[in-house]
Amino acid sequence: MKEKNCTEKEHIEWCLLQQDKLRNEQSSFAGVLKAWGESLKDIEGEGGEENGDNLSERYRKMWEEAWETSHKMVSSEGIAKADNHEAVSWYLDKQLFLRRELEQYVKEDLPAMYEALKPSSNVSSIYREAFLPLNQMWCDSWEKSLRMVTF
Amino acid sequence: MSEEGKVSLEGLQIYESYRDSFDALVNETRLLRAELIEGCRAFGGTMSKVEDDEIRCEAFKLYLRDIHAAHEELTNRLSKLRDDAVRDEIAKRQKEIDALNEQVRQLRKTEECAASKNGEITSLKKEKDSLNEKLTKLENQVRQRQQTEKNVEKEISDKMDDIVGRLCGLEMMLKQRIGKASKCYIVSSAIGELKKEELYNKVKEISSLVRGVRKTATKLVRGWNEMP
Repeated sequence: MKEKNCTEKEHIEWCLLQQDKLRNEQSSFAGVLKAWGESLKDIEGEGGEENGDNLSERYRKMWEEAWETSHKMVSSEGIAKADNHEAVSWYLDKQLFLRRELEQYVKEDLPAMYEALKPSSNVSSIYREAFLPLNQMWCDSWEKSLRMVTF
Repeated sequence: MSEEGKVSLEGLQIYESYRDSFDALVNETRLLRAELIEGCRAFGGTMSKVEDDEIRCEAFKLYLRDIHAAHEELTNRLSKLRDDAVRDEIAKRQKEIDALNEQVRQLRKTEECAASKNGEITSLKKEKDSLNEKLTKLENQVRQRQQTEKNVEKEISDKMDDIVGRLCGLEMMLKQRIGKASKCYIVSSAIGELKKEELYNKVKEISSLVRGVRKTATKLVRGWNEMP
């Protein structure tokens, strides 16, 4: 796919815009991770704190690596060139899409599932057994997807 | 650009070809998650009637097993997608490499052929030079022969002139001799008219005179020698 070349000035402006977007996303995503950790602690009860921290730490690293490479990609010496904005944008958009998905999962889906499965009694360790693999599964999935759209 | 960057750029080119497939798989994952939430809601509603936590947990695990299986299948497809893309790209590049190798092979063949032709051309040029040299020599020889022929012609011409001159001389001499011969013939014809008997007597008389002269001369020589 050959794209139309833009001017050097337009290219620099585009790179700066992407960098700005990445910074904003990075800043807002910290809140998402924190919320996720908190959710897990709530679901898993007293013993879930460690799992929540581990998972959010794993995600934090994963996304930071992704942001780092994305930043490099749109930096002055990166692989983003005047003739491949469309292709690079596709990768950045996919990363954003995956983050939005995770955000939705943490803020909406996970509590919804928790609520749906919440028994009349308090959260039991049995649910933790079921939820932990579930979270692990999605975590693996996002990681794999993220790696496919990360440089 | 770092080594990683170079690889990534390659990736950027490779993955362009399967964006749609990736989008489709990510959407399937999304749908699966939505299905799970709906399933959880339904499941929670049903299971809320079950008081035994262990039974609820086992049932939930069973339900999750299917979701896990479906998800694993999607994850495997995601992995395969990348592998397939890389493999396809490698195959595509390999084809390009093969085609280029074929071109290189053809070019080498052409080059070899050209080298062979060049060799032939060099050889032919040498042959041509050799022939030109021979031709020059032959031309020189021809020129020399032509010169020699001219010289010979001149010599012949001179000799012919000389012979003609001599012949003219001879002719003159012959004419003179014929004249003399004619005169002799006239004399001899006059002599022929004399009688042979008379001629014989005259000759005899002359011979006798000659002998007498010789005798006298001999006597005179002897007497001269005997003189003191």
